[in-house]
Amino acid sequence: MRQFIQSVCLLALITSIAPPEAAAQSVSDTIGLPEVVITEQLSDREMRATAPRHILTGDEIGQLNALQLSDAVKHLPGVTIRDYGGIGGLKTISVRSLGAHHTAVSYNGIALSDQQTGQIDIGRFSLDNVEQLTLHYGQDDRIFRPARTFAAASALEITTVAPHFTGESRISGKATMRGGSFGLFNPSLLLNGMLSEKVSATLSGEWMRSRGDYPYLLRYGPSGSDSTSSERRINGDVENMRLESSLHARFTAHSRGDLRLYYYNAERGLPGATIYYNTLQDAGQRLWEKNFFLQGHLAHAFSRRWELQADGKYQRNHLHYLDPTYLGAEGKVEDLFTQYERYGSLSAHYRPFPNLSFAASSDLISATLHANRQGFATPTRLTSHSVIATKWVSERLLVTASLLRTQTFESAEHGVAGTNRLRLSPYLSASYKPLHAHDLRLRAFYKKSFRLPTFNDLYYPQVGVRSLLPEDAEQFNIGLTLGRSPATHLKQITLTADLYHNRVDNKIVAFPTGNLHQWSMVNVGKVIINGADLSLESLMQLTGKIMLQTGGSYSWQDATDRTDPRQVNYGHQLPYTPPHSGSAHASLGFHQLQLAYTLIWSGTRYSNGYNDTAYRMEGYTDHSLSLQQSFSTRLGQLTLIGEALNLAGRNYEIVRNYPMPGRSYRLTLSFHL
Amino acid sequence: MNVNRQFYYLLIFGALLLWNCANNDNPGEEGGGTPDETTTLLILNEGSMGMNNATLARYNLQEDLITKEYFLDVNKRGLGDVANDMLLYGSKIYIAVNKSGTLEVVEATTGKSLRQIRMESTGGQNKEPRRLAAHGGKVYVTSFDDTVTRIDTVSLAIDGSVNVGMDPEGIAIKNNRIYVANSGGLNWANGYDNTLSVINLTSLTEEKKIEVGTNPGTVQTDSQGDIYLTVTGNYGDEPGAFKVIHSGSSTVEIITGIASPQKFVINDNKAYIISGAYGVSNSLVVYDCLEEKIISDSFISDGTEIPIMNNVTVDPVSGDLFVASTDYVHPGDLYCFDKNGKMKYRLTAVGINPSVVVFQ
Repeated sequence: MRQFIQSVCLLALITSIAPPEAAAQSVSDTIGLPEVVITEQLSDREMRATAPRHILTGDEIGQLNALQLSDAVKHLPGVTIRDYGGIGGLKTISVRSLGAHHTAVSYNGIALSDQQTGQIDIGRFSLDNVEQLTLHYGQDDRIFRPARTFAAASALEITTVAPHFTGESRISGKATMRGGSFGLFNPSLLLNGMLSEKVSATLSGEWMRSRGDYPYLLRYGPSGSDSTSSERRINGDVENMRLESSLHARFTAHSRGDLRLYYYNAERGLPGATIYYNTLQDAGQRLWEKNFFLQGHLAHAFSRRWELQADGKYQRNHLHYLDPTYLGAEGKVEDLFTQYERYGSLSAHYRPFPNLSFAASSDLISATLHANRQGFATPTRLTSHSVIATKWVSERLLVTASLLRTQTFESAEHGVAGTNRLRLSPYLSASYKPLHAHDLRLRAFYKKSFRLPTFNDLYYPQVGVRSLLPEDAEQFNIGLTLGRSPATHLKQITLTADLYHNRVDNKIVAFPTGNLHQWSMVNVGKVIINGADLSLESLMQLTGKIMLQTGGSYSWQDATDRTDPRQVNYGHQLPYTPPHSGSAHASLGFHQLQLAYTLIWSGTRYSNGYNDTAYRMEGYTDHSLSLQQSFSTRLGQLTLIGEALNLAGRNYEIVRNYPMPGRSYRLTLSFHL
Repeated sequence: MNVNRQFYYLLIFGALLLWNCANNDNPGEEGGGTPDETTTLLILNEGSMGMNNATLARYNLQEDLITKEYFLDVNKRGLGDVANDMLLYGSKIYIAVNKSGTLEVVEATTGKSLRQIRMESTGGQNKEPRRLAAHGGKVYVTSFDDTVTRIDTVSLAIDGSVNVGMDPEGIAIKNNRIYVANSGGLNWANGYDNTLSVINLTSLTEEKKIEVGTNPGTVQTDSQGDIYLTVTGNYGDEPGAFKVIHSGSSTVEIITGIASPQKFVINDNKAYIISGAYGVSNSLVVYDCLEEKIISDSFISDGTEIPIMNNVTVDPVSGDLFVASTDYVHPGDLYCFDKNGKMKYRLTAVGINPSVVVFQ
């Protein structure tokens, strides 16, 4: 911990020794590299944001030694990823300890949805065709977007590569072949075609297979003198395929639209927790997924003042779970779930003055869950979201406010349906630039949000409770952002610092009601979270040809349970929530060569809500290194990347008894047309 | 203690052990020298599923010192995942670790594991051992692969097995018979099981099954040979009940007046039954097995409230009653009550799901 702080301070010290210069946006002109221009514009958006927002561009993601979406997101401050290990392990995202249910994940502007569990497994998404990742803490400043996007406490946006063509070419694309330790084999193909002046199309396909049989050290006790044994992770294999296709049209100068098709088919083994003396315990559990969606977007600007957009989506998720070793009468447990969701949205934007704009949007969502269980309720939830929002922009001040109204209509084919809910969610945020000469901004936001009980919470046999209330969340945040372009060598340095206070009320927990077999979902939890997020990014031109991009983040979280003073865990830190965590990355670029180093670090945490030494989990560091070389050929650009991950080789655990792979390697060859 | 003294005591101890093994057909839990006063408690904590946090804690009464990770400290390795039952028999303690599929044979005085018996079926699958009983130099284990396994206490090896009903739980031995409650717990979707298996002790074969009611759990016998059992029901239209099969009979009778009975223990012909009615704090009902009537609706006489009682054990020497409390997620407490129902002391956060207590 001390070493980490020392190195961060040293880095900050080095980068601050430079004479101040008047705010200059001319940095991009002198360098002339397109990536830097984009980075700068986006970091500008991060700097002005009234609520913290972190953007990772495709190139920045390329410096993070990341294979899956979860690998990249781990670098963002205030983010806790619950990672169950290996490529196939479940990975869910919780922002600022509010819980995974309060974070929405969207794909190209429209929310991904799982009404059954309320969580999105972000391990499912590869970064192969991702152009940008944005994490909004609180809410996005852009008010012209579908009502549903205003609902969640935080939002992770995945934006895929839009078709772009260089010069006269009508075709572009990328072919990638990746291989690595434990049988990783991952080819992918991306093709963009210009069908006409106005219409272009993309086609993308990816296949990934991994044995996932990494060796790990099983420790039978926490101290160094306790016995250990060398084991191999079994039943951790993954095989998945993704097919995507999209059409993009620019009908006129004022209207455009796109249509996207997405199909994902995966099979994986669920290795389960590493049980002492019985590592074969979950040797047979398998999970199959077949997910499909079709989404469309239309936008039309009637005038300089009026804009309208429409979105629609049809989603079908199929989940098949098998446990062939269950000792019940049938000798197995087999579950089949199918979720359907239909979504429609209409949004309008009105800008009467250059500084002032208004937006209104209305969404309708219909979700149904089918299961192969006897007498299953087969519930349907109709959700209506309506929002009005306003925004004031000036050189120094940016203020946004919104009010979201949500109404649900629950129904079920068998038995009683859940209770209908009505909720109002207000939001207010502002950022202010006090000094003219310096790019310093102060910001604050307040958000009240909620999350509806999932279908599992409401309808799970014997445990579900129909009358469950939604969980409420409240967020208060103050912070500052500072951007400087001080010198010829230190091109850019940006700092964001935020302090926040969050509350969760009516938290839905499973509660035993009298004995081990009678549990019930109850709105009983209360959590109070205080925290701080710090991030620092810098861009340095060391010599004429060498660029150094560095950055780091640090998070402090004090997330304590405040449910019942009589309970033994009252006032204790929530499980799996480290008080201190952070990340760092550094990338050295020389011509077409790039060397990148990344670090993910976490302090100690507890595996139980009762913070006792018996449940203490030691902190961990995960260092990775990569070397990337590009070659310009006649046909296109060829890139070769070699990565070495988790250099220290320790099988650290994020979730107790789910070890991470030790040292592993990856080799990627990609060709850009 | 100097070396000579140590050696001398070891010799005596060894001699006692040999003498005890030669004369080992004492019924029940007689040890090689019953102490006059309990000095140590060994507390089994079941732990949570998939967490490898089952523990054995040791509490020294005289010094008021608790070692929460006693098994780990002595053996340099964790106990495993979900330890469902513990039994003191002779000089050894037997622990059934359900999800790890092991049976630990622990030396009672030192906590050292003498043998870790793997409870696995041919093919290496975990048998899932549940509960224990002992008689005549053998220890009997019920497992969720629908068997009762016999272990020899000298060779510490498995020497017999018999198939019973679905998912056997509680086990009791009396008058050359083994009684096993077939809960059918893993078969809850299809209506559980509802039988009590009667096994001949000598031949280790199942003689018959008696229909007792849905989802039977704990079985115990009194000195007369009457068989008492709890039937947990299906948490829906079939309620739980406390029942009895009188010695010589093959039919079960309900004992009314006890709501949602959970685990229970019989000591000195009195049954202490955890009554876990929905929505109210658990209580301990006391039933007199000889007079055949309920003598108290709540054993605890000083108003101590324990919302969820995980298990109840009685110290045969002092008559003290131990109740383990839990919320199934965080570590629970162990309460000690005297024979009049007044709390003597309470050990907080002993372990997750504290359960059986063994006395030394």
